[in-house]
Amino acid sequence: MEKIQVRKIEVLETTAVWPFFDWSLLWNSVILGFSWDRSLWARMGVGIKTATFVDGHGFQMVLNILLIVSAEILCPE
Amino acid sequence: MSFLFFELNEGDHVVFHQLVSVKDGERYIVGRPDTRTFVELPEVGVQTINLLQNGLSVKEVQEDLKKKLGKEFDVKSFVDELVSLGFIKKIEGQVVEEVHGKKREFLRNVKAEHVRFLFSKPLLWGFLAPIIMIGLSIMILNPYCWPKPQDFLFHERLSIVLLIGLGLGLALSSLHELAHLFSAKSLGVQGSISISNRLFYVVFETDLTNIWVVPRRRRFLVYAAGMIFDLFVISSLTILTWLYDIGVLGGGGILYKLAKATIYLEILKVLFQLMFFMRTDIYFLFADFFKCKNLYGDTVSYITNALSRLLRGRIRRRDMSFIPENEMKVIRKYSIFFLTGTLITIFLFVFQIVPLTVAILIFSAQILLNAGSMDTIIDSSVFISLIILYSVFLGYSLWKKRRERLRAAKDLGQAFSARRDFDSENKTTSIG
Repeated sequence: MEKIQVRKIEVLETTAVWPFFDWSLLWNSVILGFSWDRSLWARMGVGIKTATFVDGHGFQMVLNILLIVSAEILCPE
Repeated sequence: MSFLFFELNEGDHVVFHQLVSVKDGERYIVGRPDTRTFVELPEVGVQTINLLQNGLSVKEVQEDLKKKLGKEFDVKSFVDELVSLGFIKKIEGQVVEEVHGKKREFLRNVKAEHVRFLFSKPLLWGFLAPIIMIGLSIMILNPYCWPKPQDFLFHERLSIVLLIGLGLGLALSSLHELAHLFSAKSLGVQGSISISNRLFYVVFETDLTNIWVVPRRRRFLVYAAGMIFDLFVISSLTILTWLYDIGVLGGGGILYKLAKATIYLEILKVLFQLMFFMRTDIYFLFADFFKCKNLYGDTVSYITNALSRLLRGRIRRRDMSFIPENEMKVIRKYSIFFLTGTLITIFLFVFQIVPLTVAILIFSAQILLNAGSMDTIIDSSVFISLIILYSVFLGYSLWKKRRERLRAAKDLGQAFSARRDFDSENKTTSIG
């Protein structure tokens, strides 16, 4: 006896990413945007260190470091 | 919730819930819109449903098909599957199940006629497309217009940047999803918006499963509507800021900076859609373009089977024999992208995002404990609150998905239990 094939198909769910700036996207856009031509993994290591050891310059500085300064340190040109 | 079980006999007649069906290539898509459950069936499956709906018993349908097609089909097991999908309301006058909950409809009062104009050709091609073309051209031709991470820092106070950024982003993400919902509504399809996640990304999600009943070529606009909205915002703000830059428009100041920050936020949103190893909008465009009915699920099955081969059967293999060859070709290629993207994202999460977030949280906590200036205390508090808010939503989404999986497993367990009871008592069984 032949089986009648029933194939469950996909639930369609469109998405928009959570509005609060997303660490991964923001951080990677810095890395990729500023220093595409270098070793990604080495740059990430430097980036994490930069964020970890920052101190004493106010909280604004942390975000600046994440967004701008680190990228400039990583790409001194 | 109650689950009822009824043993199906060959002489039984069945009553269906309201089903819809549409021809899709050589096969048919059949579904129950109120529960947003859809399946793909061969033509004989649709014929079987039609015959059952016309009042024939299971056995009579089997005989009828044999007469017409010269083959004997297992109609009983087919009906059993339709029961488990929630397509069948009654067997011999008895309600068989109430497990499949009806899905909510968001903005139910908004009808097709209210929103159809938004997706009309004159508006799309006569207004949106030119604005997008002009805006993107300005951006490409003027490198100083390219969005930069610095644009996000539109104010010197971090807490203001974060809170306004959150408000802006909330509004933009909601409008992105409303664009999807309204484009579906313009085709007469309802949907619902909720919070969910893709890997560790918290997302707004619109369930538009019912657009399976819309002809394929019309579905693409629904998938793309959110990104069209994003591109429209990016382009129109780019035009305005460029007009300011060249001195045509006055104003500037904080509004100019806010516009730049919005462009940057929107660019991030579009970048997210490009990560289509997750189920993003571009994933659905891609999957439907290549006529795949369950690309993500089938890719997971394909990788599971590859792992099963690698581990010599320690993982249970999944049956993929029914998947057409054209879909298998796409699944094989997509599985490489899927695996690479997923592994890189998890790697970045563990070795980059978590350390970064923890480092900044510690730094913020130190500021709070050491009672720095009021400005830095407010900045730290806002930052910590937003990270907690994000974590709460991520945790809620993961908990919700786990609860749904457990509920499905429980329902299945109840069904088996009901079948055992039935077998032992040989009568209709109800479990509360």
